Amino acid sequence: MVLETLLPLIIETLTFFSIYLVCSSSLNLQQGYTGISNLGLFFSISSGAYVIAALPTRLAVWLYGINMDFVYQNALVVSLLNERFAKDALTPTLLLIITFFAAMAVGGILGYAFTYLSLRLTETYLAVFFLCVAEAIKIFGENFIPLAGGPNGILLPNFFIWLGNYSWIFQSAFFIIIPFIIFAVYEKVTRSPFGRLLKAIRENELAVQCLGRNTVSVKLKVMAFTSAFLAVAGVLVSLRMRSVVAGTFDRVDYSFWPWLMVMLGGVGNNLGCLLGTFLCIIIRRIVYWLKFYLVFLPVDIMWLEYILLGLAFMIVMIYKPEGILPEKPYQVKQQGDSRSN
Amino acid sequence: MGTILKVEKLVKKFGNLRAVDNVSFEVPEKSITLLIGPNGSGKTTLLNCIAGIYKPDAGKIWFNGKDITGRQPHEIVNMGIMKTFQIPAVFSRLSLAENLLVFYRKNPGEKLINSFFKKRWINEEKLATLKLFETVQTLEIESQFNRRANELSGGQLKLLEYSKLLMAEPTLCLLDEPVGSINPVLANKIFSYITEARNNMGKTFIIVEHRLDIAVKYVDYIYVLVNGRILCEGVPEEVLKRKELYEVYLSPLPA
Ligand SMILES: Nc1ncnc2c1ncn2[C@@H]1O[C@H](COP(=O)(O)OP(=O)(O)OP(=O)(O)O)[C@@H](O)[C@H]1O
Ligand SMILES: [Mg+2]
Repeated sequence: MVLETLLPLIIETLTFFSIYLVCSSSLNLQQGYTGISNLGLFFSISSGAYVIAALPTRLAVWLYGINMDFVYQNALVVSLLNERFAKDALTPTLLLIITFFAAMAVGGILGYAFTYLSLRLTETYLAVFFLCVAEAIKIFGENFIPLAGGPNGILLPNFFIWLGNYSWIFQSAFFIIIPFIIFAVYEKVTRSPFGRLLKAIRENELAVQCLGRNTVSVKLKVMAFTSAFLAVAGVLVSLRMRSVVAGTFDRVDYSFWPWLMVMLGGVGNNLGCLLGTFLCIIIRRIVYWLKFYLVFLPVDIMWLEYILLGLAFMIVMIYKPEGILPEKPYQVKQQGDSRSN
Repeated sequence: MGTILKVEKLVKKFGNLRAVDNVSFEVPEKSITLLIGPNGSGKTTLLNCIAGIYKPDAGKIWFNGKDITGRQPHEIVNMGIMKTFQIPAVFSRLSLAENLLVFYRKNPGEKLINSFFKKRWINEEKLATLKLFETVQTLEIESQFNRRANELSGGQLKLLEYSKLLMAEPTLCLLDEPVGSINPVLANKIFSYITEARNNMGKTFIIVEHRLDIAVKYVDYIYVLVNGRILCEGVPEEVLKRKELYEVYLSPLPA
């Protein structure tokens, strides 16, 4: 009985955590390892959401020969598609696979392009540039209706409906496994000489150039690579919500929270990033539950989360600027030893 | 002996200041050249132009007969020219060992694709680590190699900066004050390594150094730079006898 009510809650929190883990660990690779201050993280995430909003459903409508407009007759089309998807396993699965690859391609290309435009900028300027670009594209997304339904957003069909009663378990597993694969990839990359090179670029880019490395190309690769995975996170978020609303991909939820996660856990340390993400998600959940008991507070409970976010930032900056698990320099033990971890 | 580096009418301006003003010179292969001059005379700027860190305003630079004027720093390094910095440019939050492993240039694991496949880079990584141990022993910093670079002393940082050359093995080494703040015994040792590298491996060196007492013994040729121009040049014995050098750079001769 307790388990029955608790289990969905745990799984729900876990999926939320996993998807955020992609956001924070991608940011960690950009900011914590390479030193690219990206405040426009939410742009890369939303690019994945735009892909799933605009592509697979249109494809499905076309494949099934439904003669309706997906955006303007959204609810109707979605219910029709759900009926079809319930009897057809192949089409939704294929559409989903196509979506993931398309999202990675779009995310990667956009990440590359915007980094290319900003190559001459450093630190604060770069962070502000990314923030501005991201905000501009958000405004575009919110108002350009064919992309993702504009201000009202768009509903997505259930791509897992053919799994019947167990579809939510399968979906949740999907939302957890994919982020952890991405996390493992990041872990693998950062534990290699490439990861070491990224840290060196963070510390002193000119010195790395004067050691014969094309740091510009390395930074472009990192941005393209992480933006592709951030787009996957955007797809996952949308699948989980079963809708896309451009306005929900905002700087607080998808830039500042990941920043706090990285800073709290430990900059330049994937494990720290995991811990920071976990702590932040738990805090957010607790605030979410407490909402209903905190009506006596003089602030609207909706703003409490933001107040806590700001407070947490300040506390971390003052007392733990390196995070809970600070980055450790790699230790060489004896002659002939090399990175075996 | 061929010419490895040729600089012709090089000019580098910072606003109205001509930091390097119409400098021309040639460096023969397998030689050790010393560049001296008062503070702010343009020595570092000259080396930075050769290394591609600054784009010269006029003039040309040839390396092994190839025009390298205005190339990117990393391209120039990959052609075989490397510069060490007067103020060490190292990676403060990385350990000394990690610093040295980044100085090593041939690691295939630094490609994003290869980083997923350990077997593509682990062998080179082992070689790099062997070299790392050789280097820290040579420079007598082996007790420090697991410490972060920002915990090192000033002299140790200088040694770390110098170790770039040992790890990366360029053909033409530009050294900006390699032995400033290094104890005399080790400083002499570094200069004998430089001589050895020249004799045994055919490397070429251009060195900026204020500590003439140590440097002069080891070098083949000296250029004196004043206000961005070459004041005089020659083999050490000759240049050290020049009167103008005492006026602008060395303390006046006792009367
Ligand atoms: N990046 C820069 N921007 C503006 N001026 C510069 C820059 N770098 C050097 N200068 C100026 O150019 C002149 C030459 O500087 P440089 O560093 O080459 O001197 P130096 O001969 O290496 O001196 P030192 O022996 O003190 O190292 C100085 O007057 C300096 O102020
Ligand atoms: Mg200088």
